[in-house]
Amino acid sequence: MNEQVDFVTMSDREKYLYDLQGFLVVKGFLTDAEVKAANDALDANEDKRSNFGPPHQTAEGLKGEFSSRTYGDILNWEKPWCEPFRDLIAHPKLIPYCNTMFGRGWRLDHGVSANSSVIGCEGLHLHGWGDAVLDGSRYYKFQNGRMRCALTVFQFPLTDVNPGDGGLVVVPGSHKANYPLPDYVRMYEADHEIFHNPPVKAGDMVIFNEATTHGTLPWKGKQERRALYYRYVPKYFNWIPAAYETTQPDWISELTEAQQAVMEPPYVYGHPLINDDAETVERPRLDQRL
Amino acid sequence: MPEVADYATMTDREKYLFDLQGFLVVAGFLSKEEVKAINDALDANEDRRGEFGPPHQTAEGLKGKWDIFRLYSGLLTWPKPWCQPFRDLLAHPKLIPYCNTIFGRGWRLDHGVDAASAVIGCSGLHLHGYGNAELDGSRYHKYQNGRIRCALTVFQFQLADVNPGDGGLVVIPGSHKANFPLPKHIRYYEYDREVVYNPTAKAGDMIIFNEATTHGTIPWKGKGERRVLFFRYVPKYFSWVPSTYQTSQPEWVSELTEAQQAVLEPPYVYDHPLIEDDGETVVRPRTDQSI
Repeated sequence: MNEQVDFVTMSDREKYLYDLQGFLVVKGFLTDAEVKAANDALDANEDKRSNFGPPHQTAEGLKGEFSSRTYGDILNWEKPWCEPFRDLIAHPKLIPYCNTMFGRGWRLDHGVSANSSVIGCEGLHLHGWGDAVLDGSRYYKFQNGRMRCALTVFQFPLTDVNPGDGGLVVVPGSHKANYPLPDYVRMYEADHEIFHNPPVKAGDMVIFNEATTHGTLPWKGKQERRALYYRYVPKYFNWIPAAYETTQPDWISELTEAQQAVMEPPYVYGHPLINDDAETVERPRLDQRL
Repeated sequence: MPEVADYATMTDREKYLFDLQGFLVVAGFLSKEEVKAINDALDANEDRRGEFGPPHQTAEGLKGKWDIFRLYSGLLTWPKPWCQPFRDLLAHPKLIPYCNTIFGRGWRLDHGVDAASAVIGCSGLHLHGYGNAELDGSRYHKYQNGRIRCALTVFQFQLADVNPGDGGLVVIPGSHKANFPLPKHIRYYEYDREVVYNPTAKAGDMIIFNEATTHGTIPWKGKGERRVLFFRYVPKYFSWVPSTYQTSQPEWVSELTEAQQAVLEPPYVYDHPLIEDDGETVVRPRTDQSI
């Protein structure tokens, strides 16, 4: 039973596939011209790209010689290079997807980045815990014809991903998993048949919920892997501020550390957590017990 | 099966009652001294209290001569010593288990802090809070594998007694899990009143209620003044109404279209810009009920 709404939403087919699998491939989302413009902008700004970093993965199926490189802060590049990325922020074709997943009113989180990988780049261990741990910051919910999601990634491949190339890997249906993610799945060690490494064409869009178990396989494609990452959230939500800064009034500094913790703006990484003594505060990068 | 956590949480009895009913009365949360300090602060700042506004409710059971209450606002920024009793509540040691259980570790104050005052003649407020009838990521009660998680939740501190029949806060026990839409006759307190519960309380009690729990106010009929404090908490990644921080955006955001700027707004609910289907026009409804 589909929710009846007076605003544009995904097609019934798309709702079915996304609800079933926890991810969705939208073929030909970008035009050839849009793909070219994005690639030209990245090509023209290779000086802004980070270098390949040292490898971190130790699991056999995820190891590589180096980690991928990133183009960051691309919305803020000088014109005309920022334009192809700015044009995607509220792309007209994006609206039905965001409306369906978040309801009306959604925002860009994190910021926008592009990734680049070549043969030798390592993967990334799988993460995304489905429903095993009730987490208000990463979820997929459905009720009475309506779906609602928290942090969701909209990935735009800018080069083809052929079968066997590696790159994004997802576990279909895992957004609804009730049992904890086994270590051997997390580290891509066994039960490989449950993983799906979607082949895509440049210009496709791949949407995956952060609650869907996902990761990256080492890149094995002959061509460079290039992908854009946009992360959207509902309008009342914030993981990492994308394009704003916050300041607090002076009187906040008169408060205790614990009281100041409670007055912090919304964000996830490094958010102060009050200890049971109600005085001391810790700031883990990410509290896995969200 | 309660979650096994290595940090302070509510007692099993409290978890049971809150999960069952969608609200919880915590008797004697504040000490007598704390209640006195808060009331003294309010008494000393009556010049900062708003006046009773005109009534808005038209339903028979909610009508009154004036608005629901008059408000003291900006309590956290009052000059010392008057702000102190309210600041002391922000991260009150006894609050921590409740917030940890309801939000997980990491939670923040939303909205701001108000105190409300009502006397005989004040009207009520129609019931709201829609349970599970509409999946709403900004107002919910969820339970799974021993863990509760909620979004916007009100922590109301009673500063004066509420005796049987006095009026004030009403809740519908269990409504946080309602699957069908709130009927109009209940919203306006017209009949089926037996499902609506008006909790009694003593000064110093704390009443926690989820915004998803159907709740409202019935006209005050107590001989004494009704006085309550409102603190609203949310998980650390959440914002309904920014309470104190200011936001600013880099200059390049002004180069974007209106629709693009809408998507880069900070998080909040009221008046958040919504992009229309044409991908260009932006509207700003105060609150979009289709959240």
